[in-house]
Amino acid sequence: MKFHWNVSSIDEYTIIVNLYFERPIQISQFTSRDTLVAKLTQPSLFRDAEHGLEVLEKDTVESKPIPKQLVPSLAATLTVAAGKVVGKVANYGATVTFILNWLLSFSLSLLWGMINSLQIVIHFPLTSVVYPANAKQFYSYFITIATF
Amino acid sequence: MALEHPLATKTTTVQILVLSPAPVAEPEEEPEGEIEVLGNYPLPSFDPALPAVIQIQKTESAQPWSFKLPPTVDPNEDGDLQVKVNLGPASVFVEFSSEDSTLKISDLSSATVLDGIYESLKVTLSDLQGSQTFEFELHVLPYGQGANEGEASATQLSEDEKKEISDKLAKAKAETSAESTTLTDVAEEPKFKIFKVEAYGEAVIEFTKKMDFPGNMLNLINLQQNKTWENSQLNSTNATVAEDVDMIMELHINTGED
Repeated sequence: MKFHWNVSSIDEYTIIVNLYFERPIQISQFTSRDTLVAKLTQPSLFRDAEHGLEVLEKDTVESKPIPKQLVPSLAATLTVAAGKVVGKVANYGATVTFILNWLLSFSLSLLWGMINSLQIVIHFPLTSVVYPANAKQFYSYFITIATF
Repeated sequence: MALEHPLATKTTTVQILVLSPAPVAEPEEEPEGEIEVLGNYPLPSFDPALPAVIQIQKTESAQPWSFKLPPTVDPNEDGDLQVKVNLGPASVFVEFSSEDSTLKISDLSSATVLDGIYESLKVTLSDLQGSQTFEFELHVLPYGQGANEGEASATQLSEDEKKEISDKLAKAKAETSAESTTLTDVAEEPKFKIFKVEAYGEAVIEFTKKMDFPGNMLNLINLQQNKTWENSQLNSTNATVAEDVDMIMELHINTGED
């Protein structure tokens, strides 16, 4: 599976790596996921700031399942960026609505209705159907809202 | 005349000679901190000695650089002397030619030549008798610093300086080992994990403790990765690791099985 990568940023606790897949649609395309394996081949360069101790030799290999990948495009980039913001705003919005309704003694039926519908929708990925990456991305935003 | 029965067992006397160990002289009381030398095998070395520090000055215009290692001495002449060089992260831009024992940089002005201090670079000399490793540092100065641009200077230490440094090192080592016994009881080595991989190809690698990365770590990793990627493209293989690049970090994908 051809891919290349580079490191976009490093700070004291994290390294952010960008992965560029030749065929992103082939990543984790079936029910079992492909995994990303990272290996620190020179542990001596990975030392903690306090004591200068190296990363444990036996722990220098780490893996993580990769979700389905979006095909890089402007739409995908915008979706991801907007989705993050909208998800958070909707989450706060629902919380504020709840508090306002409770304080002003309005009916909460509309809010409960929305949450009930969302809770049904977010269970769809549990069905044995392979969803594309963009649909899964939207479900992740819905989960953020429904589990406020 | 007594007849010997053919099945009679013959007794053979076997003398077991027990060699008593050579008398060992009682070791004299040695002052603390000195190392007792148990064997003295002449190992290959450099003559003159390999410099402790090799300094390179970056240039503005394209300019090659080379440094020939000192001549090697094989005291026993018992086999072909092999020279191996481990350039660590500096392998991105420094190449070692084993034919003429020379370190080479094709272009000092190249962006791949990152300034910084590259420690613990190793040269190993090995013959049939054994091997000996020498360490040196490579200091790459940015353009504009230092007097002689493009020139490499190899710092040759005098005997007094060497003694002073070795004394300091021994002292520091003794202090560190004394501290480390107490530190290991308290401090844990940092661990790392891949925290998450996003659907848009971003992976976050997280460390459990605050890390102290070299200043040019990001560039070093990216340069190595780019070089590897170019090599794999040239070779038309799926290899993500090139043999001649001493990688800092490797990533690969394990395909999920259904």
